[in-house]
Amino acid sequence: MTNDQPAAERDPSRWVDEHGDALFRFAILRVKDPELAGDLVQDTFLSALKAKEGFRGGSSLRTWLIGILKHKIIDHYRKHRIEVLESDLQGGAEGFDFEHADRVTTRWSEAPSQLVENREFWGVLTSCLAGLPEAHRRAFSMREFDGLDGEEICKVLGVTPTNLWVMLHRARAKLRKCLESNWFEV
Amino acid sequence: MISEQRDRRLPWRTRVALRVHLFLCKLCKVYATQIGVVSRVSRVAASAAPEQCPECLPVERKQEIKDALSKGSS
Repeated sequence: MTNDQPAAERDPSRWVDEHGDALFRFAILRVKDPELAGDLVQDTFLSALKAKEGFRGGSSLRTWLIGILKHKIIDHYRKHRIEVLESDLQGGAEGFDFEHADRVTTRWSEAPSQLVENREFWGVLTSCLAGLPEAHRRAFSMREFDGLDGEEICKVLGVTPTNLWVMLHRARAKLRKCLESNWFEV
Repeated sequence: MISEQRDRRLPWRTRVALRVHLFLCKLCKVYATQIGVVSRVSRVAASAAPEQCPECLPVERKQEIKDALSKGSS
């Protein structure tokens, strides 16, 4: 770390208060279990402490910490692989009401940036994500939250591309149905 | 296919067939629109998480980490 950086960034004792909640929220969206999220955040701070001399301030400290946490989460997925069951790979556009779909409410048109500012919506979204089978949730999280490409996700999860596309399809279909029932069509 | 096209480039014949189908089939168009919303909302949520997401790192855990960091610093 260099002397050009603000004092708060150079002082690890202030990292937890400045960035702890942000890292926790990043983790909880991806691993569901608060205890595990806490462990990953703790590991992140300890790794950051060991590597702090390597942080040159090119990005913000938070971006750097988030980068470390992202890798910790991917490592966790690799080390604790979830077996993909045959049942995980079946199913279609579940819950889509083909008879009444033309009755789409205008709530679906609301800007995403406005939706996520609503705490109630957050509760619905995180609850719907928690309802996904674990393998689907990991695939969806890496694809939609972190923008990883299919090949990378397949390596982490140990699945074929075809299995991945089916898992993503099922995750999106289930989320669509859950958000429809609990938010958009309420 | 509506979902798959979000993850990989489909063969051109499939892309054309899907476009024609979505042009003609109102119900599938609705489904595709809604799946798009699910994707966009998720991506925005992921980048907005720190301020909007109500969960916080528990106080006891924060203290545990601070203690571990000060041991590591000394």
